[in-house]
Amino acid sequence: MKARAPEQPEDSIALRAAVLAALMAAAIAVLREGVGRSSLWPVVLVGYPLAFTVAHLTRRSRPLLLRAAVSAIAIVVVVLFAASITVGTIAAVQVPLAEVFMVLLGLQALEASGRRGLMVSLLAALVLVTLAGVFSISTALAPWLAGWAFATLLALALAHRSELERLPRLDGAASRPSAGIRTALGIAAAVFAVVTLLGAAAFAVAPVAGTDRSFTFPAELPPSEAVPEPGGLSNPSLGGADPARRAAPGEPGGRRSAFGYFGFSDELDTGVRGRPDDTLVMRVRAASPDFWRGQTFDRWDGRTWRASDDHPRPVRGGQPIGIPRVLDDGPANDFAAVDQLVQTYYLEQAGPNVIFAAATPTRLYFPERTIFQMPDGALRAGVRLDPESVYTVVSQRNLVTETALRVSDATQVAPEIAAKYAAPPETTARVRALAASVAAGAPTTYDKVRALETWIGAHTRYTLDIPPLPRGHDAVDQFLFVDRRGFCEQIGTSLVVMLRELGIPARLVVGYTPGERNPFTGLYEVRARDAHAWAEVYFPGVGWQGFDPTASVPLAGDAAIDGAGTGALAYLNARIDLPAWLGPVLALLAVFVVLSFAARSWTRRTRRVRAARPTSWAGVRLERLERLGRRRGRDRAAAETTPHYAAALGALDPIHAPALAAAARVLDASMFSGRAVDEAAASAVDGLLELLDQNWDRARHPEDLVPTPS
Amino acid sequence: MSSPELRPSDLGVAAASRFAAALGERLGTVLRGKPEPVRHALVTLLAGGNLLVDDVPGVGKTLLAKAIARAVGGTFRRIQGTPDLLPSELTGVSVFHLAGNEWEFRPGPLFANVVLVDELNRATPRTQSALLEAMEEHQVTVDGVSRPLPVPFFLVATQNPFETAGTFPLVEGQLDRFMIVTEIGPPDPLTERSLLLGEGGEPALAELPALVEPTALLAARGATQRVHCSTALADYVVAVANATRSHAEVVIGASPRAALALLHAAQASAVLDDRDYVVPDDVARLAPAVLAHRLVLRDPVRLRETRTLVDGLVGTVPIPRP
Repeated sequence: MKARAPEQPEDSIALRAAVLAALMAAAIAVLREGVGRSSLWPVVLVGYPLAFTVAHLTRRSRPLLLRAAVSAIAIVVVVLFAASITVGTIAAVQVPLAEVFMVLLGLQALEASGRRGLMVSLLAALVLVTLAGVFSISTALAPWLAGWAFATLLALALAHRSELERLPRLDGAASRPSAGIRTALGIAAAVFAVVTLLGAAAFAVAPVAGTDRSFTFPAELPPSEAVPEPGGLSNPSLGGADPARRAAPGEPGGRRSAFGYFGFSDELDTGVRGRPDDTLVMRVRAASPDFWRGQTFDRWDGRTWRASDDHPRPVRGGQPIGIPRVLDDGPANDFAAVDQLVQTYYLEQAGPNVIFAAATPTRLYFPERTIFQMPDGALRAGVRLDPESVYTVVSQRNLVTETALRVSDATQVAPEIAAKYAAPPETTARVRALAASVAAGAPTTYDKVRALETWIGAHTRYTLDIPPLPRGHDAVDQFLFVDRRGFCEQIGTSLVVMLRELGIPARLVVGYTPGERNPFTGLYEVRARDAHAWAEVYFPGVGWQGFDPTASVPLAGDAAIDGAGTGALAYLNARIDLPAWLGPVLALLAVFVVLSFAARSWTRRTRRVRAARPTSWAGVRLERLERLGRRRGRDRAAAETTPHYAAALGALDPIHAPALAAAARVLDASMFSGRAVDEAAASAVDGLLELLDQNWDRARHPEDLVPTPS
Repeated sequence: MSSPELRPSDLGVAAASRFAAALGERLGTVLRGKPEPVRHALVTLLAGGNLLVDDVPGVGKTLLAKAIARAVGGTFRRIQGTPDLLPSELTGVSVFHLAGNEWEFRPGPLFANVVLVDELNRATPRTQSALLEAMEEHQVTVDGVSRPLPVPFFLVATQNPFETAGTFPLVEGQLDRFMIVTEIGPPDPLTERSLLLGEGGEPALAELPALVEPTALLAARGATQRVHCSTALADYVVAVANATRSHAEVVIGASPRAALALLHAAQASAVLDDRDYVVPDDVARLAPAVLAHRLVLRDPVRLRETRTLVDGLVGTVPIPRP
């Protein structure tokens, strides 16, 4: 009947409002991710409510003119969309497609006179939320997600209210309306709990979503000005020390911002004190953590690091820009095991125009056609990288193992690398002596590096509170023999200097540690304090390998993240200051809720069983008949009358059909006549049941019992 | 009107059942191959309700109504529903009697034991509502004087649901006064063949003798009213009525009057099965015929579809268990 009837108009304003809320929450979540033009905001904020209102008002009349107009607009929108596509890539279509979808949703809402249309809107909201999840890089999506989830649950509960209310059984519950609502709420709560549990479980075991799984590699720049000198370094966060300002003197200086790191400059003065703060500087989407390298320094004068060759080379290309190998990388490694790590950087602060990358970048997705590469391989943009800049780097990582490093002898390197990176450094005699004594007895290059690393780790201390470097003092000497405490710059520099003293090519790298992975977005949140300096050692046949006495550098590939939800609890714990007792209490509470649910359903079932356990004459016989019928393959429905059931059983066993009909009559008489049945009828029923019990053998196939018609 | 020899209370369920069976047999010879409308007619007769036969022309609506009238016996009047039919033509009028110098009431066609209103929906609403009082209270009021109708009183009406031009569809209040709305449907090929060959139909009607005195019907009705109805069964009837009230498609569900009608009909059904107690099967089988025409749905649909809906709803109501 429902199928043939035209869709009935939906009169429930509450349902319509809930669907509208879900749709708007989902659409706003998408728009907040920067998808679509700003002109879509009025469509969502004004158009959607208007469309829902119009749809509600015209739900019965469904004016032809409106439908014609909707169709016409839909065609125009689709044509405009088709015209707006210029490039044939998926990336180019993704956003306009989302825009068209959102406009069409508004048009669809205009037409949604009945429940079916509203359910389509609800489904579309789900699609939008998924879209927002794909575009999202921060947990700022969460409130909208929660709003959408609440509105959706509400809409579903409202839409299926009548079914929920009809669920209670006849015995008493049906006559109490509050019982129906309570049951509906209970069901809603149970569904919510199950969905939450399943969702959390799926979240914990789902594979990590990295950028390498997406079809497109995001890259976009806000309108930003070019750096004064092509290929030059710019770092507005350093204030007056911005190398771009130094190139154009006379500009007013300024203080270094709280998140500016002095290493992202054309020189690194180890005498500088003060660490960057907690500011979020960028988010990185990557399948596994790595050090986000910025640039390297190779010339050391006892206090300051500089680059011996700072002539940038322009690299041109389309999408993507192929990154050539540089001379300093040495010959292409003959190392077989490599993997690709795709990283997308979402900048949050106006930092250096350094393009970060895990070692070693091979391709870059960047909106500009020209970037610059330094002799050491560091990449720079030709424009300032302002907040909301996005670029994607594909790096080819050596899957390095200790064995591979042990067989490599760093003293056997090409002369140009040795000259640049392994020349005896500027340092004091006792540092030289220390390096020699610590490394003595270490058979391989790798073991020497580890020995120095271990010594530094054991005899110095990483601290944020170190005294100023006296003028004229050697920074490494001061750190190793006087202060014995320092930042990563002092620690990394000491390692590099001592390695060079041993003839091992090494250099200082600045960049960021991976940062903390936000398990809810899957992105690494890199903060200013994650700025870092560490040593890189050149291993022939392998290439540059990072070493860090401060924090062990993860050898690429060994960092294990099991699932998308890995670390979710730790992440929450670090962010929300929860009292220690809360965890156990919540766990107990959860156990209690589960147990009480189980207990309630158990008692209800036993109560039902007890209530159903018949005490009357007819009840016992009826139950036995039903048991027999079940054995015969025919259950009795709760709403099935006794004669009807007896007739159904009689159809299965025609010989006993008349007796079954008579027995049904006796049973009904016992239940509804208000008199006791007479003895003859009662014994006839018992006899029949006994007979059926023998005939309807559960071991035999039911079909065998049906007599073959002669 | 009842004779002092046979008081209604004297008749047992067995006798009433035999009476109804004989009546049913006679109706069956006229309306062949249609046990359900015949059963509905008998239920309505026994339960003291009014019957509406709702079907397309030519399937035997009027035939069934005439057969009932003939079989029950007593006085029979037929009213043809037309747009110009006036209420006073049904109830009767007072005329001034010159000789006696007084007003004299001349009863209309409603003053009969069995009244057939053919094509009820062709009469104007004004005329239809004049029937309301007769159907519900078994009396008519003319010139401020209420006059009781003969006992027993049984009204059977017919209407064609597919005819819309020049008709006045019955309002809910009026439909509610009919205990059962039944339909006949086309006969199966065998029955139709025998009909063509002169078995059943009008010829059989002509030969149909009046079965009993109207008082026998009264006695059977008395027996029907004494059919036992247990508390559990009353709960079941309430649950069935409730099921129609809480369904999303239904705007107005079964009224308490409808539930009462369902119970009375179930009692009559018990008598037909020679039982002196009602079982859920009586209720479940009759619920579509008794309840469907009283429901107001969100989307008006054919009565037959509403019957299917009610049937499905009954299938959701658990049978009371001991």
